Amino acid sequence: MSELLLLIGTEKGAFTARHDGTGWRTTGPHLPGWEVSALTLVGDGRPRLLAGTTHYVYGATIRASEDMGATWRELGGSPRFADGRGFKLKRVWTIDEAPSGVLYTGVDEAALFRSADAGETWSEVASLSDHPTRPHWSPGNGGLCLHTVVVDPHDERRMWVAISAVGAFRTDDGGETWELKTRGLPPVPTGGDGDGIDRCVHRMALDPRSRDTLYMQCHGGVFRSDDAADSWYPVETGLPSNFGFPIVATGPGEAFVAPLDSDERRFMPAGRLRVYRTRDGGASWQDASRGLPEEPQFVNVLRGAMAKDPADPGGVFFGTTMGQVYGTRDGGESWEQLPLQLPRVLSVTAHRVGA
Amino acid sequence: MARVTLAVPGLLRDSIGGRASVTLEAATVAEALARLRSEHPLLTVHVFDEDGDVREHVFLALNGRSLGRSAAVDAPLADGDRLDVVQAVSGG
Repeated sequence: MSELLLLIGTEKGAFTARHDGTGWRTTGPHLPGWEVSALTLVGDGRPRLLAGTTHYVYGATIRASEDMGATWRELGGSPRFADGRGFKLKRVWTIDEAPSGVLYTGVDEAALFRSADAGETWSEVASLSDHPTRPHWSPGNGGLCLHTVVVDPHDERRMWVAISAVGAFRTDDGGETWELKTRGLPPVPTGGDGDGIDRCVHRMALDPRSRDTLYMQCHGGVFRSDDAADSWYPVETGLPSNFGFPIVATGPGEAFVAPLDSDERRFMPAGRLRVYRTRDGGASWQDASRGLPEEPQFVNVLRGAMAKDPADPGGVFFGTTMGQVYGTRDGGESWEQLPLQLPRVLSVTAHRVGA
Repeated sequence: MARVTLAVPGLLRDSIGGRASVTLEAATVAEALARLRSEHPLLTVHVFDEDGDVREHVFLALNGRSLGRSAAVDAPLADGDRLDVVQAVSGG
């Protein structure tokens, strides 16, 4: 019997919340004082927590725990640009495990790193960093960040990554070559002049049952692709706003978003904490917020702060910029607030572990 | 060659095995920093940026006095001297 484990990265440390079927048990702060901008559980045989730890003074590295957070070890082989590359590693945005166990991390300045030894050492996927469009890449408000990595579970040679405020890229050959995939996406005014660049992708997700269907929350709308990102079209009917950050695909044609008022006013419309769900692949969206607070909540949900339960398509969890964490286990029909009041939530991932 | 103490803030203790400080043998500050780079690679990442410069918001202090942000100072060291890695605070 497995238990649900939520890993929550915040601006001032990491927290865990574990549900044994009767209630939540929480731990933390782990790594207090560090900005835990990415936090995940990897490895089947020997589970290991990996935390992307960032500090505006001391920079960014990755730390690991083999005892579910009781003790941590900084990894000497953390992502690092080689001398002379001319890039600086400012933040670890995401750590993702492919089905084979290979790990990828996306960082600021925009680059992808790969690890084949459970995170002990990382090497830069230079073919992406050196993409011919690189001279035109411009940062978004959150920096020039590679924040989303999606691996095709059926063929790991195929991957997508998203960079703000640049666009989406796909590789079909395991990262040897990358193609820009922004057809149909609106540009944002970065001042850049690149053709097809200046697309500020906020988050991207692969439909669990279709290796060609992706959903995207973009700076300028919510989009879908039916051809593995070769082209995108808007899917916004029913949303109060097309601006937001996270998007999570939970089942065939089912996804969740957390719309904000607007780019200029990055909080929930009218201060009402609401999430929206589609069950028809984005053709229409409905408010799916029963159980969320009715009192004003002028909060945001950041791009990495919403996750799905890997074992239960009804499980979705998110944290807010004011430190609350909410979850549903019935596909959004009802939500509960977890017994935590945390620093600003940057990252939420959900896992299953042995009881 | 002097034996000096290099102390770090609490956040960086896990970069030197959970300790609050390490001992370095060096004749000058520059030599001490070279020792830091060779003997404590985890800490090095947090003190120096990719260009080899002391990070923008870090400075080093010798016996409580700031050395500025230069990593190549020639100040001589004596037995018992203390170097601190300090987070530069600006604003409230």
